[in-house]
Parts: sequence; structure tokens; C-alpha cells
Amino acid sequence: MATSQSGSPGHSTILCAGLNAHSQLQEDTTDDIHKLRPIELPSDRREGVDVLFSGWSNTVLQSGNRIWSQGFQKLDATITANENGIYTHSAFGDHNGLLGLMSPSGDVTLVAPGPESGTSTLQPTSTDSSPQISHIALTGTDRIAITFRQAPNGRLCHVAEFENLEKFLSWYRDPSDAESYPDKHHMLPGRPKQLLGNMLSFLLLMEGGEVYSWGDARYQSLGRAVVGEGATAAGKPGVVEALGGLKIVKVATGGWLSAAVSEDHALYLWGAASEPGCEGSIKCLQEAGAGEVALVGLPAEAHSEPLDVVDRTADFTPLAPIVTASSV
Amino acid sequence: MYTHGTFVAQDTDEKSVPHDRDDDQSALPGQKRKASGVLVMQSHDDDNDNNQHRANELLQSLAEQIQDALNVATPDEAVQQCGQAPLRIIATHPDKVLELAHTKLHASPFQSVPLHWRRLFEEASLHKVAKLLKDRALRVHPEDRAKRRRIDNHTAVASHSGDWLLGIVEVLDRGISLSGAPGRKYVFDGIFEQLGEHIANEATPDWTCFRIIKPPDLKSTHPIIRKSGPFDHETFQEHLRIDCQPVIITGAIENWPARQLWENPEYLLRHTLGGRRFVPVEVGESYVSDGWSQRMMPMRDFVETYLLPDDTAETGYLAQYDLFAQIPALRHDVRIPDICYSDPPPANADALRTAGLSTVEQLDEPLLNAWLGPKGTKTPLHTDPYHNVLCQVVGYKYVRLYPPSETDRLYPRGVDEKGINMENTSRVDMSRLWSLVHDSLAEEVDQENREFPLFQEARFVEAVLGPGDSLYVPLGWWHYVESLTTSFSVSFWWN
Repeated sequence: MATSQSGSPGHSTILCAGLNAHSQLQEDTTDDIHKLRPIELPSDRREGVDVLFSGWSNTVLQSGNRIWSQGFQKLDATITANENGIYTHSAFGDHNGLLGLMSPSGDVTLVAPGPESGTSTLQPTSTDSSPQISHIALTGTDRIAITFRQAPNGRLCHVAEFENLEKFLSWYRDPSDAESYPDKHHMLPGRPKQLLGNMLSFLLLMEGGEVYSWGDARYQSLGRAVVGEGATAAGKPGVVEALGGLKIVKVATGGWLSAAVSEDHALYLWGAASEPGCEGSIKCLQEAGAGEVALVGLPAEAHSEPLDVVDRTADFTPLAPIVTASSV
Repeated sequence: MYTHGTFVAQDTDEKSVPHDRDDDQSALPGQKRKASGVLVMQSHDDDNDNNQHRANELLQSLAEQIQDALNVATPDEAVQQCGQAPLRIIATHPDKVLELAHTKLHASPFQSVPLHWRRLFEEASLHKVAKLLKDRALRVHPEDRAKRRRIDNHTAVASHSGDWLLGIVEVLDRGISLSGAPGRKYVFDGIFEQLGEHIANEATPDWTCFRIIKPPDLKSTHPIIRKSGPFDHETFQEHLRIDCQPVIITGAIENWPARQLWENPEYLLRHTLGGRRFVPVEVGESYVSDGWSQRMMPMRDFVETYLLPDDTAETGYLAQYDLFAQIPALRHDVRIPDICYSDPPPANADALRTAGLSTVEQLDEPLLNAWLGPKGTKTPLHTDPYHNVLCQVVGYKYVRLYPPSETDRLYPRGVDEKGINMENTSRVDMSRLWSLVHDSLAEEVDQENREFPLFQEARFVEAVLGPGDSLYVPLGWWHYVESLTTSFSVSFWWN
């Protein structure tokens, strides 16, 4: 996984660590990177670089209008900015690489694989009938969720779910076709701020600070009860009640683990660090029940600094690096 | 090409060259040696070298066989659906691909695991084994210490106190158990067979037969009826037509080799590659108790930790597991009872409510399950959507049965917090309400009766099964089973 961090003003460093079997973090080796270190960048693109997508086999970076992939997928392309000069809003992909991008105006562009492990190319895919989307996310089981663009004063968030990318695309290109209707449709109060997917479930953070989760309830990944009185079924978005009352400003998720940072810089975790049969667990989560979250204690000197969580980990990575102004 | 029983002559020059005596004779740690046993480890340098060479040749040969098998891939094979990124590194980084496949396997709904992830897990397991074998072969070679040091630094082998073979068996068994070996079962079988031959002369521990003390007779007012068998399936079908009730058939499994062979735990060891084969063990009081878990461990560890000691901190139970699919040799020790081929009468209204009945498939052949555990294993009161014959081979078990018509008095559970439907299991803790070997606490009995008032009114039948007994449990009958001694049983499910 790769994470960006601000160092001295105007200059950002991207630190990386973890799986490197496709040389997605460091070119000259396929060994794991055990300690955070600056990611290798091409010599002509060292300024203003950000991580667009971090996956099991590649890392996609962006600098201005250029995006490129390091690792298994071969990609080197130009994207267009919207009228405000802002480039891509969000990216989604899987263990084989980047699958698509969504611009700030909600246009979806696909990443089409090249012939015989050749270079991939970008393929705009919106049509005139394509609905306006504000967020898109993918789970490790290939399910896709999207939120519809809201009017500036809109208060109702519409979420649609699709079984896989293909089904989403056929609906996206022609939503009037009855065969292509979304698998599920949810309506929730609020304005969406972040929509993320991990191995089995989705996480939706509203601008008002509420967090919804839905998908598969295994491994406590939803952070909420799914049976019992008043509980929302796993397949429908339900509020992560343990965070109720807190205003959450950012969420992150990967693998079976989720994290939320509150307005007052406290960090909460829920889920599992790994599936059964694997070693390793997170101490503070060991005693948490299905609907519980754990408050993570950080060393005293970190408390005074604003906390941030990297939200661009791959669906597969079970770690969410915690970033402060001066340390990770 | 590996040929059995050949020894490669050593140059006399090598005799005086000291080489590391790391434990590569696949001897299990801490085992007692029989005085008369011929062990691989000898004090004579020549024999040691010969055996190392034999081992080396076997390792090379197995690695090559696996490689040859893995090289046969078809373009439209299911595993291609995983995409090229994992396939690109599967030979060089099988561990990473295993991790990916493991995660994807656990992401699927319980009922349907996509074939391509199972294939990837299977394939990556075999790649990892090939790598381990090659690395091990290089280590066994007495020359080239520099190469060996490099390999030591990079080979990710689980530490098994020097038993390299155990590490390889673990990868193989996990590969089979998690993937179901949908594409390469023959490769796994072939490797196990050759490994078995390789360790055929390994010494075995000095274990004696399981100590079984016959429990006192159960004086019951509601015993399960007993009939002297065996029955052929037509006779039994007539019995069912007249009265579809549970029955204990005696004398039906006398021709099972298991009756003689399974009394000695050493026999189990021999057929599980010296106890190295990994089996799933349930640890904890019962599958509804807190802290209950399942894990895989070598058969030898299971026997030594949970089966042989008189007292254990926790109960370990090798339960509801098709040991016979994993260890074909054991399959030959049992025979499917004829009655499993009878056509049971259609289920009555009560039995039709049995949990899971609507989703279960028609079986072409009965499902076999092994149940091997110490005294004190408890299987909570539950139903199965199949007809069942439970054959008692070693030891004694208490069984209590309630007919489907009593279901409403048995307080079936609902859906648990993880979303798993547990309605085939009763909420009543039977172990508190009955005991033959220890007195139930009066407060516990009162508590259960208060919480489940209707339960006391439910009618039941009960018995103690002993070696040679076969118990027929009709579909939908609630059953509670508790072992009174070390016990080894086999169940057959059919419909």
C-alpha cells in the first residue's frame, strides 16, 4: 500500500510499505517492503504526485493530468480536468489493477486491458443517458455501489448496488433497460461524503458525520448488530451505532477492517485484522462484539496533532495506516 | 527418476568430511524408539549419507512430478478467471497468491465458493510444495553451504521443530481442505503415497490400546429398541414401512476391519504419515459454548493432546469429518451398511419441518463422517436433514432421541449474531440435565427447567451404544450424544 504525507510546505512525499510481489512499490525487487520508505517515482514526475489507486498487484499514481501504473498493470495516460481544473475524483479496481475512474462530474472511464499483457488504455464510457453519479466503490466480491449526484440542497442520498462491474456498466450506458436495473436500491437521509468498499461490505460516510455499513456480517466487519430488535439486516445500510453521537470526519476500510476518525481526532476500529485461519489480530478488537467498535489509544505525544487515515488502501489490504502531521 | 530402495554408493573421500547433522531424517521429536526398530538415523556415516541421498532423490522427484503436472494448463481453465496478476507470480511467490486466494475463499457466501478461487488456492499450494521440496533438496545436499544459508534466509517454512516433512504435509492438507482439490486431487494423492513409502521404516511411539472402561448399564424406562442384525436393505425397508422408529442394530458391523484395527492409536498414526496428516479438531465444550473453535492440527498432536491423557484442560473432538476421503486406507476399514440403500418412507408433517430439509440435495451415495474423541465430548441436541446410521466402533456413547413431534417442546434456536441459522439446534443444554458419570448440580437442573418448562414434558428414548452397535436415527429426530469413554464412531447420512 502507498500513502501520501505532507512534509515541508509545497513538497509531498509518498511513503509505501507492504506487498511488493509485482514491484508495485519498488522496481528492482519483488520482496516485501517492511519499513515505510519513499516510493520510487519516475524522474520527470516528482512534484505534486498523489496515489490514485493502491491494489494487490499495482499502484496507480497521478500528477496533474498524468496517471500511470507501477506493478503488474501497464498504464500511462492523460486525463482531462473538469471546469474547475480538478482531476479525477475516485478510482476503483481489483487485484489485477485499476478498473475505472470517475471524474468529479460523475463521468465513468474504464481502463481497458491491452492485448496480451500490453498497455491498458482509458475508455470513456458515459453516454447521454448515463446517470449522474457522485461516488463509486467496489468490494472484493466484485459488487459495485454508487451514490447518485444530489442537487446542492438535496438531503436524500440514493444508493444503488450491482452484482458486478458488467451489470453496472450495462445499466450505466442505458438505465432505461429493465434488464439492467440495479440489484438493490437504498435511500438514506444525508449527503454522501465518502463511499468505500472492502472485501465484503460497503461503508458510507455522510457529511453530517454518520457512518453506514452494509454487506456481509462475517468477521464483525459491519460494526453493528444485524439481528435482534431494531437491527437493520446486513444487506441494507445501517448506522454504525457504536459511533452514534460522534461526528466522524473520515473513514477508511480494507480487507475486513474499518477505521473512523472523529472530529476530535479519536480513532475507532472495527472488524477483524484477518480472516479465520490466519495469524495476527488486533489486540483492542479481540474483545469487541459484533456491534462494538474499539477506541484506539495512541501515544500521548500524538494526541495534540490532527489525525488522518489513509482511505485509498486496496480492497484486499487489511491495514489502514494512521497518519499525523509528523508521523505515520 | 526415483526408484525405491536403491542406495547410492558414497565415495570414501566423503566419509571423513564432517557435515551438519540437522534433523533431516523426518524423525518426529521426542519419540520413544522401539528397542528393535531400525531407524533411519544411524551412527554410521555411510548409511546416513545413503539415506540423505535417498531423501534427496525423492524430494527432487516429487518436485519434478508436481512441476510437470502444473505445467499442464488449459487456456479456458477456471483458474484463468482469477486474472493474470496472480498467475504471473504463482510459481515465484506462491505464499502471496495463497494469501489472496485464502481471502477470496473467505469472502464468498457460505454456500457458494467460486471454482476459480478454489483452483487458485489448490494450484498455489502445489507450487509452494514444489518450492519447499526443491529448497529442502538443496539443503540435504552435503555440499554448497553458501547456497543453503541463502535458502534458509528465504524459505518460508513453518517451524515444526525440525520436522521438515510436517511443514510440507501441512501445506498439502490445507490445500486439499480449503479448496476441495477440484483439479489436482491425483497429484496430492500421489505425493502422499510416495511420502508414505519413504517413511515406512520410521519408528512409532510406544502407545497401547485405548483404555476403555465399560460404563455401568443404563437403567432406563424409555430405552431405544434393540434388534439383532445385520439387515439387508429390503428387510429394513419393511421395518421402516411398518414403524419408522429409531432402532439399535447389533452385530451389523462385525466384518468391519475397523473393529479390530481401530483400538490401537498407533494404527491411526501409521496411516496418517506418522501422525503428520492435518485434521480439523473442534476445541471446546460443544459447538454452542463460548470459546469453541476449530483448528487443524497433525493427527499425532490431536491424539497426544486430547485423546490419550486421562485429563485435559479442554475437550478436543475430531467431529463430523470425512476422514475417509482424506485417508483412503481408513475407508477400507469400514463398509457402508446395507440399510443405507433402503428407501425411507416419506417424511410426516413434523419431520418435514426439519431445519435445512428444503435446501438439501438428493444424495447418490451416503455421506460418511468420522467421530473420534475422548470421554466427555458433547454434541448438543439437534436434528439433521438426513437419515442417519451411527456405528459405534470403539468405546461407549450415551444417546438420547426426541421425535420430530416434540420439536415445539425443545426450543429450537434462531439466527445467531453472525447471521447463521441455528434452528437445527435446541437451546436446552442437555448435558446439565442428564448424567451417568457425574451428578448434575441441582441448581443447574432447576435453572434449565425454569427456562425451558415444556422440555420436561417431551418424550424421548435413550441408550448407551457400545462397540458393534449401529443406531438408526430417522430424519428429523432430535439427538444428543455424549461420549462416556474414548470413542470412535462412523456415521452415514442418506436420503
